[in-house]
Amino acid sequence: MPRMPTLSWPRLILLAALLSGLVLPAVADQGATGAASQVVARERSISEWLLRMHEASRRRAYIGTLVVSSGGSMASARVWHVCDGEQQMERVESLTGTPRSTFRRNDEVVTFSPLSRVAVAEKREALGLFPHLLKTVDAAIEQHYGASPQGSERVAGFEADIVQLTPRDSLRFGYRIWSEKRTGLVVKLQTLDDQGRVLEQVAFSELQLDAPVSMDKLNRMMGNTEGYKVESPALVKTTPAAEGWRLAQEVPGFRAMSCYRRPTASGVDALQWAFSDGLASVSVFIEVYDPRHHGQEGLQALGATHALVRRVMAGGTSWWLTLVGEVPAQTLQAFSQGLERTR
Amino acid sequence: MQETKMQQAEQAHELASALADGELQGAEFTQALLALESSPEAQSRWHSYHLVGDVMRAGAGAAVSAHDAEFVARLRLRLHQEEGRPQPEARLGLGVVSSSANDSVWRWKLVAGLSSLAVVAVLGWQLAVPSPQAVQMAVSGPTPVQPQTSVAQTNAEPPVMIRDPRLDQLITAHQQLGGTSALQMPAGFLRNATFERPSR
Repeated sequence: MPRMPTLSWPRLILLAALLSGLVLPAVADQGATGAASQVVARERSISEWLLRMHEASRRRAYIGTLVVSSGGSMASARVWHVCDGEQQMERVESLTGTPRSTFRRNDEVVTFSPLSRVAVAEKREALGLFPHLLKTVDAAIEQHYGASPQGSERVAGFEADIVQLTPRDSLRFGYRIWSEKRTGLVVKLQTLDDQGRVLEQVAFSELQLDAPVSMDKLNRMMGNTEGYKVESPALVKTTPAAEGWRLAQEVPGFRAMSCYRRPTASGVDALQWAFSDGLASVSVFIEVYDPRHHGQEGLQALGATHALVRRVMAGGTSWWLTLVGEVPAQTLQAFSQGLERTR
Repeated sequence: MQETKMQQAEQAHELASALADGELQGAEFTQALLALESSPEAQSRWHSYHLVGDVMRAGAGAAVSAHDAEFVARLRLRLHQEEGRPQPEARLGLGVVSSSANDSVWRWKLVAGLSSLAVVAVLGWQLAVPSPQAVQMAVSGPTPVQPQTSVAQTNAEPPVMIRDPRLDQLITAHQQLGGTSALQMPAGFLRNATFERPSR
């Protein structure tokens, strides 16, 4: 901080007079900066938008109330977010439905269910991927979506730039994103179908930016599993090749991201093969068909999330496929049709 | 001396805050309860935190006013107890309370004053900041979220809508692993942590 030079009283008075005169030019200057930022907003590429939004959540602390509306249902939660440049922490307390507290420290997630006294502790590797993800798939994002600024609007008391990401084909949904003007923080997000109808909306109804959130406190709360039964999902990393599967016909824009074996309620492991086009993601679950556990084939849709269930014959065995993603049903069809047994 | 008092007040504040957040266990919990019992500052804080919490959750609903009424009733009782103590001036019927005897009364009035100030501040803030419910209504009003029926089906066979717990489990698994999206980090994770699939 530069040292203030000592000022005599007459100088101070003069300075005060000057400062009051400076107010107007300062406002004019702000207007100019605003205009400049609008020019920048118009020229930002999708990757730049996404990186800015991500940086905002990496650098800012906030407390807010998040409202999610999807498929005619509504849910809300109180959110605390804090970061110190290295670590990011979040606390999400559900305000609707079953009481639930979720804590996140980078890619570690603990979900407390006070009614069942169960805490699920897991590592979600994918959460750590970003922003590296942008560097690898940004070409795909640019190739499959176009970005267009849509002016600005106030959300939760903050002026936000609106950007619309429109898919270039019918294999994905569009998005409309409200990004807080000053910081870039995502304050509202809509998923849109091909007619521009809102399938799902996530928005802050109330937000306190740069709020005093204590990382120590969140750390202590996340670590305090006293009185809870701690469970961890037993995920085993594998590869589709090792499991005898491949995607003979790729779905444009979607890349394989991870492959795991995970236990299911039926006691038999399911293969989970995850894909992403950078914005939307699809999971392909493959299990050996079991008539005692597997019932009806079909399609389920809730908001932007679609699920397709299919029984297929491959390699002399009957399989049960479940495809889930925030994509149109036809994308899930394309995945199910492209899948091939290699042995 | 002044510093110690400030430290104590700060500590009471911290304890009440931690207790209100439900993050105290064991010995800390006991200590906080003791502090709450003995410190009017902590009690006032405790009340304010709850009031803020109630307002956040319920809007300016019944829970808040009931809670408040309870607090005011308790406060009145305590004031009454304070005033009910034998005081020389009162016995003399002078009606004027000297500074030494009214010290504690004044303190309580200050607490009451501060509390009502806190209530006014909270309610004012509540008016300025829309409650989640109000916003939910606003959200559901102008931009209704369409139930998903509009997506074109390329497949000839009509889709069968299915709902079963096994499928829900896999959808949850997808959301947990589905963080491979660039939107996941700012918004997707929060969305998934917030949104609970409707139970049937």
